[in-house]
Amino acid sequence: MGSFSRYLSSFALLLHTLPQLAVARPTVDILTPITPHSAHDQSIRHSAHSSLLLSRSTNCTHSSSDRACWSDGFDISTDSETSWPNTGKTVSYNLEITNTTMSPDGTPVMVFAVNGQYPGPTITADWGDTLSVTVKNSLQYNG
Amino acid sequence: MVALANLLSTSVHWHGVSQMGTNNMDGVNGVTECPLAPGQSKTYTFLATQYGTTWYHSHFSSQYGDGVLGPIVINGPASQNYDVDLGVLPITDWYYTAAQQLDYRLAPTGNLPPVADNGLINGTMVGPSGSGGKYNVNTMQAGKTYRLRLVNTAVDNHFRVSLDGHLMTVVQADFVATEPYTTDWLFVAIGQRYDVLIHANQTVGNYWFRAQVQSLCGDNANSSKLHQSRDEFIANTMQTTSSLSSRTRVHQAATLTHLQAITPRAVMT
Repeated sequence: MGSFSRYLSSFALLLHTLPQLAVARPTVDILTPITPHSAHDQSIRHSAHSSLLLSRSTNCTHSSSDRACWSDGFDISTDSETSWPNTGKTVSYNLEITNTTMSPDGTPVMVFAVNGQYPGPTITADWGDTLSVTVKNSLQYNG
Repeated sequence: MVALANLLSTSVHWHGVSQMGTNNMDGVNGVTECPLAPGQSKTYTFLATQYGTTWYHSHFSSQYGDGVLGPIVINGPASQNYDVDLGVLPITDWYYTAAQQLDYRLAPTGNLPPVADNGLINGTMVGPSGSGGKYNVNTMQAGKTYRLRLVNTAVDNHFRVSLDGHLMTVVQADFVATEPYTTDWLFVAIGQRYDVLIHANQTVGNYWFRAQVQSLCGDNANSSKLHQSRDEFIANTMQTTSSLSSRTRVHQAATLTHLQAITPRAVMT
């Protein structure tokens, strides 16, 4: 098997394992600054603005001046791996995959579009919503 | 043109989304479900226990490289205040040959992945020759702070991302809120998401938002072509205005090599 195929396979495996890793890993201390790529000599400066991670205010309204707040006792200090709201609200989307031709940089290419567009539509929901996404495979040609 | 049903199946995976108790909604065909054949449908139902930015993509072979993907935004709290959410900015490599076709051809050869023909930001880019296509444009109002959600949806390219003249404050990495930190660039690997805040605190004008392919992290014809000059690759214009009502036409570079000549300029109000 060629390297490209291997690459894709390993990538696919990586994608698949991410949710599991998220579940399996121990409690993350979100107060620890994350240094994602220190090996790349990336200059990191702590923001001059004060962090909101320590704040917790249950009786507050989420706004542009209070992003740390969320709702009903859930806020930026909530450990979302162990605790999350359940709004009881369901957000539904339909995604239909079709063959088409698009020219995103001027050169026409075959695209498997989602609802006729690339990238596909943005799925938007609130923390604690239930997502209900119906995918329909309407592909007909592969070339 | 040959229709091969076994290349036209699909399943959609919700990248990084926890599926505790709903494993059969994970969308990984061959593992958590059978692929959906042409004509078939499936409703994926799951609770958004995390918040932030991610994306969905086909998990069938290399099919997402042919377009089956899109952004996901789960609204929630943030570790630093901002004024406006600019939404998701997907960044990808782009191939003129179908990903599944490249995959099929390469499998028996042992060769490295092919050089990408171009890259796209939010699904658009000027062609490598300088004609056709267009740059993606975001507009910011001077003085305000914006949230931008970066996602690398590529098949093979990894990117170094920056905005000329501006710093970015990281508030989330994947689905995890971070202590805010400020940087002038980010390395965004395939599948990674960073939510950054950008303060429009520079002179009103047009600024290039850059996504540069990194050596040994994929190759891109559009990058190689320009390597001799400045190794610049793909750019998106971030436009600042003194007020939202005074938008002006963005200065479009005629060719990618003109990127070097662009300097911030005042916007007529």
